[in-house]
Amino acid sequence: MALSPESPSPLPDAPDPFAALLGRVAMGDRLALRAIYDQAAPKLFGLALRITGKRDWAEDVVQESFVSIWHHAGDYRPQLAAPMTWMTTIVRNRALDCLRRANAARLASATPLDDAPEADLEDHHDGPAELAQASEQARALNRCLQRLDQPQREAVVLAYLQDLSHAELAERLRVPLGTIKSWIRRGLEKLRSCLEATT
Amino acid sequence: MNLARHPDLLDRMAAQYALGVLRGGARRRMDQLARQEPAVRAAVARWQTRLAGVAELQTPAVPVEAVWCGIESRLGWKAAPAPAAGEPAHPDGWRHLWRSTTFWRGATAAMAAIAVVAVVGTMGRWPAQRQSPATVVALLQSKQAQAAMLVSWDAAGRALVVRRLDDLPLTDQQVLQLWALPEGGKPQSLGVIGRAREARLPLAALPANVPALAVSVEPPGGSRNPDGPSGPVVFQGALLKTPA
Repeated sequence: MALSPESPSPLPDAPDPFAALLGRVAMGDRLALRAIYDQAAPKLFGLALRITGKRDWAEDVVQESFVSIWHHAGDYRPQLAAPMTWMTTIVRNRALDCLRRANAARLASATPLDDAPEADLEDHHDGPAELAQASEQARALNRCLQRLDQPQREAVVLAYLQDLSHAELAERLRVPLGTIKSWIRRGLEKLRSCLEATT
Repeated sequence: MNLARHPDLLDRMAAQYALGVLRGGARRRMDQLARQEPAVRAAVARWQTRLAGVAELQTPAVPVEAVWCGIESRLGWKAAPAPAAGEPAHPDGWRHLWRSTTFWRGATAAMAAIAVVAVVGTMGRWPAQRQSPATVVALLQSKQAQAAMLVSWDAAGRALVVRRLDDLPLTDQQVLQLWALPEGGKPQSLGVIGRAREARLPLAALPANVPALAVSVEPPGGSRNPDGPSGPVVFQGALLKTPA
């Protein structure tokens, strides 16, 4: 990822509009859910697409995620996570479930592998990180990710997004297992010292 | 080996566990340690929090509009609801009310008298918010021109505070919903009040260019109609002051 110009971060005390909307969703306000959708759907759909690699799967994931947001908005705790962090965590979990279901179905039916991703999964590693709507914590993480060597960063990000093991990463990135283990270990170590230094 | 006594190793294992790269025996050992050792749980949670940001840094992509339709149908919102209150809902009801000038007469005078009292008394029910006084922004009236609802704005707590003054009977299938009536725009929901005498509706800011507020009777969960109330409008009033 190239070092991206920092977009202006929200004032620390500015209320997060998503927090107010989640409060209204918790009280059963349908228009508040629609407002969240209008503002956050591209961010959440982009994430679902990045993880699943297929538009129709990503669409399913976003729909399931909004059903979850509707039913669980009352469980959202602002002191634990920023609203966007909470919502993207839901989407990641749903997307990983979707991948697991797809894998299980493929194994069960022994259908030929059809996992040519429609979205170019490797596309974004060298582009600027998307900071729009990102929480303070995600911005801090981004600053530290920028300091990793590119292979380390790619391995860490891909492992997290797709829940890949060392062996799966090695296969996906076509590098020896030992190399992957070392990238991950060093990458995480650098992240830790960087995050601890800045917080 | 007691991981809790080896902070560097603990942190390394917790990081890999939270990232998801561990499998097999290594993963099972961490599962077990996390159940037994609070220090391990804390280290894993710290890394989960740190890494969660990765999901926020991805490139956005605009979904097709059908995705929202799918959400509505999964939530069972597609079926048209029966009118919630005793009288039939007509979609443009709020518009008629808005045009009826007699509805507004007297509201402003009543406001001035009641505002002073209300600023003092509105909060109280929410201990955490007691410090922040709410400013009365509207007094809504019933169709019989009786004072029906006080609406205050809690700027510090970013919420509208509503207090019912009416005695409108509601069944357990009916709730009240508060609306902003923007000039020349669709009514905009400010939140579902429910059946309580008082309620707080979290809101980042009052919508701009809103001369009036209204309350409608709706089925539980609020109006099914994205363009405004689905049930009858029962209270209405001018927004006196638009706070910053």
